[in-house]
Amino acid sequence: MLESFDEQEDISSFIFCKIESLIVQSNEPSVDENTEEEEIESKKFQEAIKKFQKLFKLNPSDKLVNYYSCNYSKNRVPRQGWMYLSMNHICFYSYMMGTEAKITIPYTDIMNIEKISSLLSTGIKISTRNGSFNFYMFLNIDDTYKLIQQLTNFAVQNLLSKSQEFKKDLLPNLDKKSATKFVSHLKRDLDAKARSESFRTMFRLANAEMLDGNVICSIWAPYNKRYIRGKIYVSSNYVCFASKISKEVELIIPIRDIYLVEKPSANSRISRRNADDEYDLDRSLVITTKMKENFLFSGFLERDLIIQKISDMLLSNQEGAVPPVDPNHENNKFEQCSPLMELFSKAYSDAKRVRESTKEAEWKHHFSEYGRGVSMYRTTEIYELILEGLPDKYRCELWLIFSGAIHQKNTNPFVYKNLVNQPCDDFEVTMDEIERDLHRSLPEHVAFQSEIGINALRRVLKSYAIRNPSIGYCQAMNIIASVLLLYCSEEDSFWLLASICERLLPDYYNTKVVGAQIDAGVFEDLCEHYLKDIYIKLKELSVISYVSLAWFLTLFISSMPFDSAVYLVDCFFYDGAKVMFQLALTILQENKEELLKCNDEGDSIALLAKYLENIENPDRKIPNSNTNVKNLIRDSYINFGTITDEDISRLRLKHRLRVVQNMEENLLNSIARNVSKQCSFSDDQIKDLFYIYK
Amino acid sequence: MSGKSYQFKIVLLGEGCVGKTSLMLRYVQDKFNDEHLSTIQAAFIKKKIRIGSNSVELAIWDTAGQEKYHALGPIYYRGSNGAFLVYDITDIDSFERIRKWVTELKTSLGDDCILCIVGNKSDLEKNRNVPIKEAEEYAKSVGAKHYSTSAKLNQGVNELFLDISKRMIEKFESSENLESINHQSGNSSNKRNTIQVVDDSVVQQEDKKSGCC
Repeated sequence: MLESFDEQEDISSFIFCKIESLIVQSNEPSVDENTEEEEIESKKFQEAIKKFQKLFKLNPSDKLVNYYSCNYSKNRVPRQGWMYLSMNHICFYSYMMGTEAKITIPYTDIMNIEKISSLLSTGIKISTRNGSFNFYMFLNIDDTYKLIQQLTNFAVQNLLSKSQEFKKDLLPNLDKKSATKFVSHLKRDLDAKARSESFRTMFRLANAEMLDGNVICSIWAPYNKRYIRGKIYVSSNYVCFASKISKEVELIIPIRDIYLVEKPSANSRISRRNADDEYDLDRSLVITTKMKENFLFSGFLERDLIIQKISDMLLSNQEGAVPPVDPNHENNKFEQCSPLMELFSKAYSDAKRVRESTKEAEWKHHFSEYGRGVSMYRTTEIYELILEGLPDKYRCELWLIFSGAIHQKNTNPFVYKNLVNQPCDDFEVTMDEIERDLHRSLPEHVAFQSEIGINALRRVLKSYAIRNPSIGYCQAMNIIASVLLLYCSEEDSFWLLASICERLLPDYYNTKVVGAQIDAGVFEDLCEHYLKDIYIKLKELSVISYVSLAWFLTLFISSMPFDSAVYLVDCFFYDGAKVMFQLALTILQENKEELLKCNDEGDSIALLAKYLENIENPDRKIPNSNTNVKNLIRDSYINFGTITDEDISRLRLKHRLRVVQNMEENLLNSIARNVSKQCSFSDDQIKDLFYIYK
Repeated sequence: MSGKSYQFKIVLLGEGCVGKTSLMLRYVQDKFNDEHLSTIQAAFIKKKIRIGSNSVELAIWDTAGQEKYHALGPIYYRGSNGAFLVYDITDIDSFERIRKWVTELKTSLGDDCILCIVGNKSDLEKNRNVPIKEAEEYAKSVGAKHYSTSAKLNQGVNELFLDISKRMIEKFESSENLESINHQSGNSSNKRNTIQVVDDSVVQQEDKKSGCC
C-alpha cells in the first residue's frame, strides 16, 4: 500500500495520520462511560464548591472554575492543600497540624505570573504588590498555569474595557446554563473561549465568531496536486483550514458563500483525478461555492458527521439571513469618494508603469493558480509577491482580504452609509479633535490639499467615532486613515480602519493608548532577547520604553515616507502585528554601531528619526539613502521571522498586567495626593485605606 | 563667570493643535508651515545659543497633544529644566488643560522645572477667548511667567526661548551655590544629569559665527 506514494514525505504524513486516528479511536470512550464519569466528576465538584464557599465566603456569583492539589511554601515550610480558582480569585487553603493557611488573591491584583523551579519541583509564582506567593507540587502544572493565565487575562481585559461595549463577549455567560450543577462547564466554556480566540486570530475573523470544533483532515491542493494535512475548523459563519505545518496553506470559506457540501461522486471531475490516491472517496467531501469554486477535503474519520455539521450551519445561516435592506433608504443620498490615488496622482513614470504591470501580471498568474478572493489558497508562495509590494491596482482588494475587513464589509452593507448620514451632535469634543487634525494627516499629498480628500477623511473618522464611542478618535488614526484613503474607497477604508482598531492593534487607540504602551513593553522584551547590547544601551539612555510608540501607533507612516511605509502595511495586513516588531528590531540592528556610540537620549532619537526619514522605495529615490524599505522588510523576515503570534500574545499578557497595575497605581497616587491636602491622613495611610476598601 | 557651557532640556506640553510644533520649528529653523503632521512621535531638536559669554545647548522636546496621550507625558517631561505649557488664545479649553499640566509638573518635578505659560496664535487676537488678564494672573499664582507668541508671525518666539534660557541658568547657578553651601563635600552633583558645566573656551570661537539671537 505504501508503495503507491511517490514521495517519502507523503508516506510519513500518511502514517502519522493513521496512527493519530487510531489513537483517537482508542481514546474515545463509549457514550455510557462518559456520562457515568461525568456524574462522578460532578459529585466531586459539588463537594469542592461547597467547601470553597464555606472556606472563603466570596460573593456567590464568583463561581469556582477548577481546583488543584498543591503545596504552598512559605518561609520554606511547605503546606499541602488545595488551590481553588474562581472567576475572580485565586484561593488556597491548607490545614496541617493545627495551623491553617488561607490565601485569597484577586486576579486584578496580580502583577506577574511565572513558572519557577526549585530543587524538588517546578512551581508557579504569583506576584502582587503585597508580595509574592509560591505554589509547588502540582499534578499537572501546565494545566493550572494555563488556567491562571487565562483567568487573569479575562479579569484584566475586563478591567480595561469596563465601559467598552465591543468586548462584551469576553467573559462567558454566568447566567442560566453554567450556574447549574455542572460548574465544571465553566472551565469548558473558558477553554472554548480561548480556542475561539486563537481561531479568530489565526483567520482574522470578527470578534464575535465562535469556534464550533475542529477535525484533522487533509486538503487537496490543486496548485501542486497533492494532499496537505491539517485541520478543518467549523464556526457558525466560516469553514476554515490550516495546514499542520504553519502557513503551508490556509483557507477561509464563508458559509454564506457555500452553495453545496457533498460526498464526491465517483465520476466527478475532481475525484477521478485522484482515484488512485489512498484517500478513498468514503472519507472525502467537496465544498462548492456560489462562485463555482470546488474544495476537496479528505481523510475524515467521520465524514458524514462533518457534512451534517456544515449543512446544519448552512441551513441556519440561510434562515438567519434576511435579504439586506437599507433601513434608511430615502435619506441616504450619498456618493462615496473613490480611491484618492485615482483622482489625484500624476501619470506613472515609465519605470513605474513597467514595475506595476509586471507586478499585476504576477498577481494575475497567482490568482489563476491559487484562486482569487476570500477563499484563495493562502500559501507560502504568496510571501514572495507581498514582499515585492502590492501593485496599486490590487492593493485595496488584497488589504481587505488579508485583514479580514472584507467579512465585516460584506455582512454590514449599509452600515457605513448610515453612519455618514448620522448626526454627530453628541460627539462635539471628538468632532472638534478630528477637525483640527484633518489638515495635519498627510499634508504633503496633493489629495489632502483639496477639499475632496479632506471631506472623505472627515467622513471616515467621524463615522468611526460614532460606530465605536469607546475609542472615538485618537491622533494617529488620522494618519493611518489618510493612507488607506489613497488606495481604497471610503467604505473600504472605513472597514480597514475598524479592523486595525478592533483586532489588529488591540486597545491602541482607547483611553491612554494602553495597547501601544503594552506593545512598547513587548518590544522591550523582544529587544532584550534578540539584541542584548542595543537593549542595554537604550535602557541606559532610557529610550527603550518609548522609542517604538509612534512607529507602532501609525504603522511607521509618521516616521517614514508614507510610500515606503505602505510596503510595511502590505505585510502587516497579511501577517499582523508581528511584522511591526520584526521591522522595529531590524531598524535597531541596522543602526547598531551608531546607537552604541550615542551619549544621550536625544541623539539616539534624532539618529533613528533621520534614518527612518531616509528610507526609500523603488518609486522614490532619496539622495544619500542607503536603505530600501523592500530590503529592510525582507531582512526583518530573515532575521526575526521566527517571532510568532503566540510569542506576542504571551508577552502582551505579561505587559497588560504591568500596564494596568501601573495605571491603577498612578491613579491612586494622584487621588491620595489630592485627598491628603484636605485631611490629616498621610498619602500612605490613604492608600492603605483604599486597599482595605477595595 | 565667563565661558561656561550649559545643557538644558525643555519640553513643550499642551492640547492638540495649539502650535507646539510650530513654535519649535519657528525657533529652530525659522520656518512656519500651516500644515504639518499631527505630532505622534515626540520629536526632538537641539539648538545652540549664546547668552552673554555663555553657550547654551537646548534640547527641545515636542509632544503629542491629545488628551489620550496625556498618560505618556512623564516619559517626555522627566528631567526637564524648563517647560512650555502652550495654549491657543482662541480656545478656552486648551487653557484649562494647562492647569492640569501645571499641577502634574509641580508634583513630579517640584520647583526644579521653570514653567512658562505660553498663549500662542496672538495673530488671531480678534478671536481671543482667553482673557489675557486671567491668564497672567493664573501664571503668577502658580509661580510661572506668562508669554504671548505668534509662531506664524514670528512674534515673541525668540524672546520666549531666550528668556527661559536665562532663567534656567539663574536657577542652575543659584542651586549650585546653595548646594555648595549646604554640602561642602563633593557630592553636590546629585542634581539632574542633564546639566553639565564644562569649560568651553575651545568651542567659543565657532559658536560666535553661528550664534543666534
